[in-house]
Amino acid sequence: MRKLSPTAMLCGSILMVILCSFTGRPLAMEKDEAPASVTIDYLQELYTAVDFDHQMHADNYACNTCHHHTTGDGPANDTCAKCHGDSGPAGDVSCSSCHDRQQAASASPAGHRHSDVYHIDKPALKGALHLQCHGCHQVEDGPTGCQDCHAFTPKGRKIFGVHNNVND
Amino acid sequence: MREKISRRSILKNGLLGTVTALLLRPKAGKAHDIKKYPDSMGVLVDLSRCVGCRSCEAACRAEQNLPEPDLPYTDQTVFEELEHGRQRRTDETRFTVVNRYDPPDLGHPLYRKVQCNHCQEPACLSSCFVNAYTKTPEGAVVYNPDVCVGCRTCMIACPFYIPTFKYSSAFSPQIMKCRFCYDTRLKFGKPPACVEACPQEALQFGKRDELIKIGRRRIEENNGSYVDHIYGEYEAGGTSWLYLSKVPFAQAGFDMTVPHAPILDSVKNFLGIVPMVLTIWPALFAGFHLLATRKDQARDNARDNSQEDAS
Ligand code: SF4
Ligand code: SF4
Repeated sequence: MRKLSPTAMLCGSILMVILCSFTGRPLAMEKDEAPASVTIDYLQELYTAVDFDHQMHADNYACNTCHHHTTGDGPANDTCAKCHGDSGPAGDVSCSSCHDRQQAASASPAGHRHSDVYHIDKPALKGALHLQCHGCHQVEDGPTGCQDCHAFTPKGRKIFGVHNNVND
Repeated sequence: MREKISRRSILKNGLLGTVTALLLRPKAGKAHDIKKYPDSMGVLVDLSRCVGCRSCEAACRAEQNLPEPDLPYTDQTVFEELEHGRQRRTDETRFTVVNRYDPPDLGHPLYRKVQCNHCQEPACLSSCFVNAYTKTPEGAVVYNPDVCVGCRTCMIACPFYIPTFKYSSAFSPQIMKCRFCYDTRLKFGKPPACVEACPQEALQFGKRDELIKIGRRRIEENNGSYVDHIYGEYEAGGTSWLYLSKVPFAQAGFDMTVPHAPILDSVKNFLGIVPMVLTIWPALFAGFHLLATRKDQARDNARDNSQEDAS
C-alpha cells in the first residue's frame, strides 16, 4: 500500500482523532487528498506488486464505485444502503481494512465479528481486488489479461510452465 | 479405519461370493437415505466469476505432481481444442480442466472448471466391487490403488465422466482423478490448491451446508441475475462441489439429465448380480491375462524366428 513516513502517519492520525472528536465521526476524504498511486504488494508469490494508478481512477469514477459506503457519496448498491444509507465515511478506507487477507475456511456467522454476521458473502482481499478490478475492466474495456496488470515472478513462470518470453 | 484389502483376498472372496450368490437371492432395490457427514466440506463454484485464467489448473498440477503440459497455462488456444468433437476432459495428466463456452445472450465467454464433484453418494464408490473408493467424513472421495483390479466399472458409473485410467501401468492398475487434495490439505482442514489459487474467488471452500446457504443468499441478493438453482445440491444425490450460474446450466455444458436420486438407486438391479460378477471375473481376468501374454509370447517367438532366419 501507499508508503508514508512514520511522522506523517502519526500527524495524520492525531489530526484525524482531533477532527473526529469535534464531529463525532470521521471526516470524508476529499478527492484531492486521495493518494495518487497505491502499491498493492501484500501478496507477491506468483506475480510482482501492482502499482495502481489511483489518481486516474479517482479522476474518472466516483469514490463509491469502488469504496462501497466507506467514502464519497454513500452506498451505490441497494443491499449496502439498507444498513449503510447514512452510516457515514469510515476512518480507514483501504480495501484491506475490511477484506481479510485470508479466505475464511468456513463462512460461519457464529463466533465471527459482529460485522461478519451481515457480511457472510464478503470476499477476501485477493478475491475482492480481482472481482472489483477485473469486473469493471470487462465493462469499461480496461486491461483483463493477468499479465496486463502484474508480471510473473520466477516462481509464477515455473508454476504456469512459461519457459520463454513468447507468452509473456 | 479402513480395512486393508489385498488383491489376493479379493480373489479368495470371489470363491466366497460364489457360495453366497447361490445362497442369497438378489434383493429388490429400495430407496434409501443418503448418509451424510454433517461437517463435510465442499466448494461453491460461481461460474459468473470465473475468468478462465487457468490458475487452478496450474496449482493442481503443482500440488499433485502431475506432468507438465506441452503448452503453458497462459496459452488460451486450449479452449479451442476438441477431442472427438468434445471439449477437454480430465485425464491421468490433469485432474481439472477449464473449458470455455459462448452462451448466446451473454455477450462474453463463460468458463467452467471441471473436476470430480465428490458426490455424497458416489456412483464410482457404489459400483466398485472391491471397495477401492472411500467417501471421507471431510467430504473427499478418495481411491486406493492397492485393491483396484482395473475393471474400470467406476469410469462407466460416474455420471460426470471423471475417473480415468492410467494406461501406462497395465499391471498395477491405477485410476486417476481429483482427490480434493485430501492427503495434503483437506485432512488438515485446508482448502484444496485450486481454491487457494483462484484470483476471482470463483471457488469458495467451506462446509457444504453453509455453502448452500451462501449460494441461496447470493441468488437472492442479486436481483434475479443468477439462475435459481444450485447445481449439485440434489444432482446425483448431492455433490460436495456446488455451482452457481447466471446463464442456464445447460449452456455451460452441465448435464441436466443427471437424476436427483443417487446413481446407486438406478443401478440397484445391476448390483443385485454383483455376487455373480465376483465369481466370474477372476476367471475372466485370468483368461485375459493368459491371452495377452500368449500373444506377446507368440510375437516374441515370431520375432526370434525371423531374426534367426535373417542371420
Ligand atoms: S464425480 Fe464421479 S468420480 Fe467423483 S465422486 Fe462422483 S461418481 Fe465418483
Ligand atoms: S483460477 Fe478461478 S478464475 Fe481462474 S480459471 Fe480457475 S476457477 Fe476460473
